[in-house]
Amino acid sequence: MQGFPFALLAVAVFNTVIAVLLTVVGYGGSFGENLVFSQCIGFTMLLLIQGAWRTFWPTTKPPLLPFLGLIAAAVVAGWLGGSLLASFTLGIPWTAGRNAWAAFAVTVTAGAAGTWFFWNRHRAAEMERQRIEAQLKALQSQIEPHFLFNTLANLDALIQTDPGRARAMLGHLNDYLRATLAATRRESSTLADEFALLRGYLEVQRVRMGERLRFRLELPDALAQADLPPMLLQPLVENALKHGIEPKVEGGEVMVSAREDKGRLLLEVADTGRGGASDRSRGGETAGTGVGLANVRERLAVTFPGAQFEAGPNPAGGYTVRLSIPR
Amino acid sequence: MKALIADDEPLLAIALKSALAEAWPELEIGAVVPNGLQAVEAAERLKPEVAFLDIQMPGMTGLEAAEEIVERMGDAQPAIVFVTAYDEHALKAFELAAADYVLKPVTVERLARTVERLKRRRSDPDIAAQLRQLLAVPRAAQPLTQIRAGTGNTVRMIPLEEVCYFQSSDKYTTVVTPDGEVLLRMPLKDLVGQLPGGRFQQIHRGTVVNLADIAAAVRDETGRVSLQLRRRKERLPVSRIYSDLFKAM
Repeated sequence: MQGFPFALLAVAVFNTVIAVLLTVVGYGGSFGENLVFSQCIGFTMLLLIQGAWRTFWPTTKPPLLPFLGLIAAAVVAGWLGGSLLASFTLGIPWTAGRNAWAAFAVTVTAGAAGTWFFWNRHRAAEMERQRIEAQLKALQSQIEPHFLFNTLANLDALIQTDPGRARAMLGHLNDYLRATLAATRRESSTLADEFALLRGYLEVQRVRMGERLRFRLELPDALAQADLPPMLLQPLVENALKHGIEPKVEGGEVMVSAREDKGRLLLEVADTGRGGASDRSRGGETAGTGVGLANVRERLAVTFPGAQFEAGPNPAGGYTVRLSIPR
Repeated sequence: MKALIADDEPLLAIALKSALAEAWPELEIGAVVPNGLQAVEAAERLKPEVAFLDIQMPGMTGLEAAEEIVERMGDAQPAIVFVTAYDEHALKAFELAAADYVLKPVTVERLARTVERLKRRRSDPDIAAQLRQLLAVPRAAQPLTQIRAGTGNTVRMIPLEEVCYFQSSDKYTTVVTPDGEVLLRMPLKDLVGQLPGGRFQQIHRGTVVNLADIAAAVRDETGRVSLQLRRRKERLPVSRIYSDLFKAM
């Protein structure tokens, strides 16, 4: 949970709203009294939850079940401790609120609402972080010296031997650079955009690798406008080339396809290259594969809860990554 | 003069060929091949005076191909010029090893300088020493003190001094001790970097020997060197680029 000052302010406002509501609906007690109680209970809960979160899961989002347990504990502690603190502040005997069970019910409801709010806020922040990370990755891969210098070296060669093809390659490079740039400035993109980007990338690579690279892109018209986070598939295709096709003497084929099945969008990046599972998942010498796959998996999970990710070597050689996204 | 070009990217091979035609018109390009294995075959067949080897090639890198060419051709080996895409680390390595290299995209001017140097050179540079340096694996900060080999559900601890030599077998490594062998699920390449410096020596693409275990180096009539060990009966062949390490003082 980030932005602790923001959380403090939000909780203070939230508590005040509860105090106003309680006073308005005639829960009993003065507004001042209700305000002290709601602030005490609210802040006790906030401190407990934030404290536990930062102690036990300093860098990550807590898993759901322990987190729910933590909330339940915080609700009880907030209700008891907070009301004790409020009674002490007001100089009245401890009553756990004017009406203990009603106060408990209010605490539970408020706790649930607060948790929901912060959980979503955290999720939104997480999505934002991943989006920015993916953008940086995309920009990085675009200006990755190997890719750029290699492409330029090939262009240089083509300009002398085959100006027509040089111009075609420049066109593909232009398409790819423009598409990645557009993708890095958007939060959401469509399958049609992503496939256009992949085509540019693969065409450039095909000029470079010659007959060793073959590719197929299959996107049914009906799915062209389906939403997809920008640059989600590109790292998978880059991996297929880097770890599948390039190290294989005779090269191979990359197939990217989209189809719909039982209300789910199925995306597949498959290659017929060197399939060694160990090379990819471990990262091997050309490290980064494992990271690349993990990154795509993470982004997918954050953007589409319920999405599935599957990756592994093919029995007949090569490697396949499958994404299944509920529509 | 005959030359060989090896590059997996066809356009770059053609570009190098045409740049060479300009920078060195007398040079005849004997063959242009797309990978390391074919480079080794072509070198043996054509016996060129110069070989231009791309570093990043599938199957066998330019460095590995160079090692194999030296191994098979001995003194008849061509002068080797590495061709590489821009890569800071690689360039530093080439500079350190004083190896000939050209950067892609190849320009006629830059190539002319390399050609000049190749023509001027009276004696061959020590290609074996260059390759030993270029093929050396960087050392890990925390070297291993023992080998942990899994056999079934036990992990055997083998002190490094127990190891006579390591033998590569594809993705695995065989650890050879005085009384037996154990298989490690780790390529030799990954293991070498984790061995403490100065105690083990690569003597072949697939063999790393415990220096303390070497009893003698024997040179046969063809100039090939093999090692006799103190605690094992078999002899270990030494590839040419490492032979110099076992010369008499």
